[in-house]
Amino acid sequence: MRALWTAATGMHSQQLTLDVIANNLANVQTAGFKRSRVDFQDLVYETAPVPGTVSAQGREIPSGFQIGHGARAVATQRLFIEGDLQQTGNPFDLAIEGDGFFQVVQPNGDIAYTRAGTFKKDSQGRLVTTEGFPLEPEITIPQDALSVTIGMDGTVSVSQPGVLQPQEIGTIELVRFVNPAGLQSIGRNLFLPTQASGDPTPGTPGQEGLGTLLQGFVEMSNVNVVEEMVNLIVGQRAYEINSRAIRTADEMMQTANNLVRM
Amino acid sequence: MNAAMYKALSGAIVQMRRLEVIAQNLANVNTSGYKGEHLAFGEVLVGAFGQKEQMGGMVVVGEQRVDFSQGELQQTGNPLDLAIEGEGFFVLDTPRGVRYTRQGTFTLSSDGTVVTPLGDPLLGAAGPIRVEGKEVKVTPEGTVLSDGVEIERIRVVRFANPLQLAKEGHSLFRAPESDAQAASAFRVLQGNLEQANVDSIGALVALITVQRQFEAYERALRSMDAATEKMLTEGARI
Repeated sequence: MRALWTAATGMHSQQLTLDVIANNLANVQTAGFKRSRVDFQDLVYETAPVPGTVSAQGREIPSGFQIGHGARAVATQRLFIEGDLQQTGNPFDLAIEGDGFFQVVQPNGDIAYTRAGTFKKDSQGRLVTTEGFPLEPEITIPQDALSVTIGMDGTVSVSQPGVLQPQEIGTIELVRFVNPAGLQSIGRNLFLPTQASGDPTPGTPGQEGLGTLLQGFVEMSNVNVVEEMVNLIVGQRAYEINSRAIRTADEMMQTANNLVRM
Repeated sequence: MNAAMYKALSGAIVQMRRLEVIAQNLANVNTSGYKGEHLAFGEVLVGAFGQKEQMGGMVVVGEQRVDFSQGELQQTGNPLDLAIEGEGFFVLDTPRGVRYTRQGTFTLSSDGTVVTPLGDPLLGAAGPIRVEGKEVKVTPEGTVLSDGVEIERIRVVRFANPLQLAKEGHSLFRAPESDAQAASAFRVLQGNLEQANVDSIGALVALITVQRQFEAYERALRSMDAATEKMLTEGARI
């Protein structure tokens, strides 16, 4: 009985929804986190007879009979909708207002991309992520810097004792992707480019479609708890009703088995 | 006697078919753009299929219909989620030819073309739609604006007879391209998805009726069998 397997694909799809919702909810406080969602499609149809074929009596069958094989997940789509900005007052917290990603260098030398702008200063004065991955291009804050100012366009300037004018020490670059949804997440708030995302286009914040930087702010996770809760309920109910279809199929098979008299 | 048993059997088989269709609808209760299916039943009347008289009264699946009614709209805020409110279908360029869909979960490919999750480009009036700017806006008429500049208009087509549309899986519909006409009574809503139009409460009730009717046919089969047995044993005694 195909209904059993069809309903099982429905249950499996809903299970995947719950997995994704659980991950979204777990990251409700993760700076720069982008929520995902699962996109479903129906599965192939078995058609018997094909609409438009001619029956033995010479009539055209108008609509045929098509039985689907259930549903399946085709993609988990990451939604790069901007999260709310939270003021922290920390001079190394940077939020991107608009499109774009920071570039950081992983220990293996590869560049990864992130929206989580919670940077820190390491022992050499470099700006690094919480994991200690340095920003690219590297920004080194002089040891004797009194204050650090990061402009909307990414210019980093410091004021030093005995120097009247703030000194420009570098510029933070951002990159953008044609299709950020195609980026591969590798955990730790980091993304890697893929064929689908396209190659990164570097640029100065505020130009060529890139967002501007906001010092002292952190971009919060874009997970909306209420929305996830509603999705959770919808997913659970859909799971339940699919299990109900399985039970009906099971009981009908039992009824059929009872036909044979002992 | 045998004919009556086969009539009851045909009824039981139809209930199994119904269950398959309900299971398909329920499996896709969260598939955006999914259109539910309904079965209509017919009784094969005497001679309707040119068959022998005693075969009349058989229950068969008369027709399967896709319910093209509007699904509810769900706001997502994602700029490439598009929903059609009203009539019509999006047109996709798939490797197997032009296909139609109501599922509007689009994304961009690496060169900025608007595609489905399976990579099939969405067609506009002049072909695939390429977005280069920072911001994409889609007006209710289907006009695509990139950074405020009009770049393309999404093709939305309708079919005079939607029953010709055959489902192909992947939320696609297949139909002869020549039958597609430009739709007019629609609005494209950006940042929205059309949910499946499956009525889960109705499906739940249908599950119960399917099961009970199946049981009723089973009862009928059993009692006919008992009657045959009685006739054979008692007939033998005479």
